[in-house]
Amino acid sequence: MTAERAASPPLPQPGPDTAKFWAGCRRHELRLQRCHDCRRARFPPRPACVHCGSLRFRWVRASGHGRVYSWTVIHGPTLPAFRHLLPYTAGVIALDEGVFMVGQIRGCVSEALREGLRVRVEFDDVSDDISLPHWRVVGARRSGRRR
Amino acid sequence: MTPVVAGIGEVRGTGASAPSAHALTAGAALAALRDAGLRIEDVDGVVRSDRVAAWEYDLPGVLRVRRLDWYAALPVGAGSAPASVGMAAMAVAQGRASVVLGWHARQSVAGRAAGVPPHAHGPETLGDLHSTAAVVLRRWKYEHGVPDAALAVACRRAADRAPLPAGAGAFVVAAAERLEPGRRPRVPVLDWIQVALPNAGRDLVSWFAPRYQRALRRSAAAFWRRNRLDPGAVGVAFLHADPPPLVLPGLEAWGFAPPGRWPRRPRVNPSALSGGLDGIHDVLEAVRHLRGDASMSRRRPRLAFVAGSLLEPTSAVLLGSC
Repeated sequence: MTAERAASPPLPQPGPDTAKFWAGCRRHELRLQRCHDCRRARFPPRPACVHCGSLRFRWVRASGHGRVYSWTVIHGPTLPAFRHLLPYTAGVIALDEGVFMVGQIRGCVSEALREGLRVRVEFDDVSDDISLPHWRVVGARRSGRRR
Repeated sequence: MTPVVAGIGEVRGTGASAPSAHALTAGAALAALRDAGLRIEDVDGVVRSDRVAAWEYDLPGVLRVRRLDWYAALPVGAGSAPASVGMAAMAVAQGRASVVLGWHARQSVAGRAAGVPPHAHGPETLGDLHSTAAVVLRRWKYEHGVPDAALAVACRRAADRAPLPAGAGAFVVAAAERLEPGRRPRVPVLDWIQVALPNAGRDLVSWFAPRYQRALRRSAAAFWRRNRLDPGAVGVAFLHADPPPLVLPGLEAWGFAPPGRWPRRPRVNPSALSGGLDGIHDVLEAVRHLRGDASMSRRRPRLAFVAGSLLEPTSAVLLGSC
């Protein structure tokens, strides 16, 4: 295994339910499913509505904004692909659309992180086909490290 | 038919000898049958949830099981041990089998870091169980205003996890009406429950959804209601969770403790919180407590409760006094 391959992050494998989500990420659009019948958004992508059971839905572009719901600071051990980031923050974001999403949280020192801080989505282009979303704190004290 | 735990057995492997999973299975199963005063020829049902599978076609070779009327296999998880007792009891109660042998075996002696998946960083999951536990507990602390000091004390009590040992645990659930009287004390299987919840390790974003949190509380409340019991009536409780600090929200969800508190009752045996063997050890310990032969038991309880906790679809079993 080459050093370059060893440093590759684990990449998602889009399937029938998730392909449109990942295609949206590649275009730097955060997409959610919205139920055609009860109009509620859902994530992760699923064939049926978790609220009303309807099989009818459409993909919508999310605002890309949310709030910090919970988080942790990862000090390791971790994979080689993430080692250069240590320590870094990852957590759960409550999107304005009412669903949760997990991702790295950047742009804020961990001591300043608080429940409810506003964040916006950004994307890392990690391969030709895949872009991974992460979250940047809006208007908080910035991290000393630039990522 | 009235299902009772008629016998239990346990073997522990050592790193040096490294017995096979099938050897561990056979050792524990035969010990449980000896404890019950039964022979392998009496077994007509099997339920298993082992990490290294002994499939139905392995049974004649591994255990000399020749007649099988009922067979079930469960995936390994925090709730699989109580679920396997519940399924065995159901088979006996319905008359599908009269002597069901259940077990869980683990060959691995790897340390704490083994099996920890990589940080996937979503968008559905963090991947790593310990980071997941930290995120869950931080939110729990925020929701209930639990002071840091209280959380630290509670986590210390819960985080007693020992290195993963090799070993196997087995039990025999049999129809009380078919057993000879006067042998080892039998422990009635009073009730069991299965709750479908998202797995926080695989789908953290769904796990946080309030409807699932409410679902567990509703199911737990219904469980106590149909048994006409208050959770405080339980003498000793065993909740398996991986990572162990997740026992705390588990105790709360099952109604044993108010938010952010360690319960006064039931007595939660700290040595069993890790489950030792993926939760099967909790079942065996509960039976020992009820029979009055647990090494750490100060007083023989009337009821024992065994459950998996919140990282897995959760199951629980309620055992009664002999």
